[in-house]
Amino acid sequence: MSTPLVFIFLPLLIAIILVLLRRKPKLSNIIGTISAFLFALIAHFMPEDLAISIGSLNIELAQSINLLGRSLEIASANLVFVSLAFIITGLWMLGSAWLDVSIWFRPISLAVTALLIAALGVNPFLYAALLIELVVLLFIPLLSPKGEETNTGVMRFLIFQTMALPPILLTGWMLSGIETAPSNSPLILRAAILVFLGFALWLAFIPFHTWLPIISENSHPWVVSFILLIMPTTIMIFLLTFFDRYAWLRNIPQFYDILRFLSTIMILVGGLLLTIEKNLGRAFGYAVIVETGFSILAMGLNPQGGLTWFSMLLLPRALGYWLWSFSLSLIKQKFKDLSFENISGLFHTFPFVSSGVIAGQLSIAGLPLLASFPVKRLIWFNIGSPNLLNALLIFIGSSGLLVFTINSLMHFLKQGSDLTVEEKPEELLIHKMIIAAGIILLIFFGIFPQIILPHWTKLLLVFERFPIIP
Amino acid sequence: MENLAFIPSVLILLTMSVNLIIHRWRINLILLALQYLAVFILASLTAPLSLAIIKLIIGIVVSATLFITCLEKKAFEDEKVPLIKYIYRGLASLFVLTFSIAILNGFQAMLPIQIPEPILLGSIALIALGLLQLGMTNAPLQVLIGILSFLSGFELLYISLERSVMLEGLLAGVNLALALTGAYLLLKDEAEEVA
Repeated sequence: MSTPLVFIFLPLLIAIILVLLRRKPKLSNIIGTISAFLFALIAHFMPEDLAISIGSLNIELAQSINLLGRSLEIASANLVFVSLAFIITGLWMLGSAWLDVSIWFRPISLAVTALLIAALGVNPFLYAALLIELVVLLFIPLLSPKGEETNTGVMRFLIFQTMALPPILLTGWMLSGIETAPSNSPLILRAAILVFLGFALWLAFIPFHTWLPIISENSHPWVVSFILLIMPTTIMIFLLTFFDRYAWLRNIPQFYDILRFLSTIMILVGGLLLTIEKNLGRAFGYAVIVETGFSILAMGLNPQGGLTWFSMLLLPRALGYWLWSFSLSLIKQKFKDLSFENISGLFHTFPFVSSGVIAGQLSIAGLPLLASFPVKRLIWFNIGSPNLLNALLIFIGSSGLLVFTINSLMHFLKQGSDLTVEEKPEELLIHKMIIAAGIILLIFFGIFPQIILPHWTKLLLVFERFPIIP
Repeated sequence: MENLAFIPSVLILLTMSVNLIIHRWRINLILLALQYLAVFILASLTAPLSLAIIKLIIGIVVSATLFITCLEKKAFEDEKVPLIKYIYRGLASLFVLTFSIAILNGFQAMLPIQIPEPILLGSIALIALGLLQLGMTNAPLQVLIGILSFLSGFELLYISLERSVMLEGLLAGVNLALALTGAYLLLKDEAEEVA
């Protein structure tokens, strides 16, 4: 027995079972949700020595297995990410029980989680790029289900994500020459450019972001939010692995300035685009750009303790996305289109759903008393010390989602609107309960961040060499 | 003898250019298979035959998968566009080809090891024309051909730099998965999702 067997191959096996059970959505949902949360619990409670005792039975798990001369490794320190990945999958699997998502969502989401965990555990770790490409290809049927027209966003998603593969693999080859190269070697600059290009494509840095608003407008919000949470999170952890392993990369002059500059551009442009947006779905895509910007900004603020904020931001973000996209999915299922003119006056007929959208948006925007606020507050307070102009630009960018939320609220509250709902316009009790629970959870995380968030800083134990300075 | 090695490179330039200009699925997929043959010949110049032949086998499987998919697809019409569009695409591909040849020496100078010129030319042409194709169309088949060509260009370059059976296997897996994704995208409009 080994940890890769438990957290990679076993979920893949369950994913295959879910493929066979795809025509029985209730059963596949129960199995998928329970298994995802079970894997999260096992990862969470696994002892550091990876030895499990059940009564008189003692099982000691190996942390790696060999495969075709290469190895897959999940050490004790990696288990924090493993549990986070399965919590995210479990949450999305659970929500899908009340939504009309593709029959492939459950098996693919579980398989993708296993592959992304494998991506972070494969040695040599650059092979992760190939596993991430396979994940991208698995997402295509979810983004563009049968019977629906393929939108340009899906094609661009495929193109940009595939284009990231060569720069990352080429970097791997260049690295062998770099380890011994002096710091001013042109080889270092070339390799660094390739690394940044590869990650910029993966993480939809501006100007490689064009697919994001298109898929978030046209594809199912539940699927989109899952993809746009689990992929960037894993890829950013992968980016940190680069920073951790390659001293030459983090020793580039102005390394932190570059990270802060790139993230500021993302937050500013994403925020400005949000202020003029008139579609709830597209706005989600732009908010993802801003959120990725905040994570990169946290990395750029590492000298002030940014990495701890990076790790603590992940769960509040997941909860915010969860509530926001759950409510968006219900609206999309009713109205088909998420543009403002189509849903004005929504609050009068769907008060819980519209409150869910607003609460999700406000939490992601970092409004006080909601989940993301405690961590974003730390980022906002610290960004001024390296560069005051950066702080101003980030303030403008951060306001984008707030402006959009006020705009949404005005449309939701419009009187005398002509809502066209095919069915009787009423909210189901279960939907009301889920949304209310989501809002309560966001407030709980906002008021008592010290209870849950510090645990996720253990995510950084994997990065032994990337210094957490303060 | 050295000049003979340029034949597959020229074949790549021709197949890519025609694929870029004319969008007729039968021609495009036959040329894609020919392109993989040229990539195999070029790869075998530096890599062991056992490794290079993977490219040919995968290329044939990928082309055949897409060909069968297009045959299965009902009412798959070839593109009909005005002559000016063909001229525009031709000029664009000519520009990119000239650019690829022009940067050949500069690119070689950036690499720490010497790569034979035919391989470098074939690789740069595939990457550049593949990217051009990706920028010019949204049609699933053409996008797929663009991505596959772009990846072949990179693989051709990479096999000259690093030889790993595991890596070749994974890259072959990615190519196959791309072909299956392409097949799905081409056929999915005709099927209905059962929720």
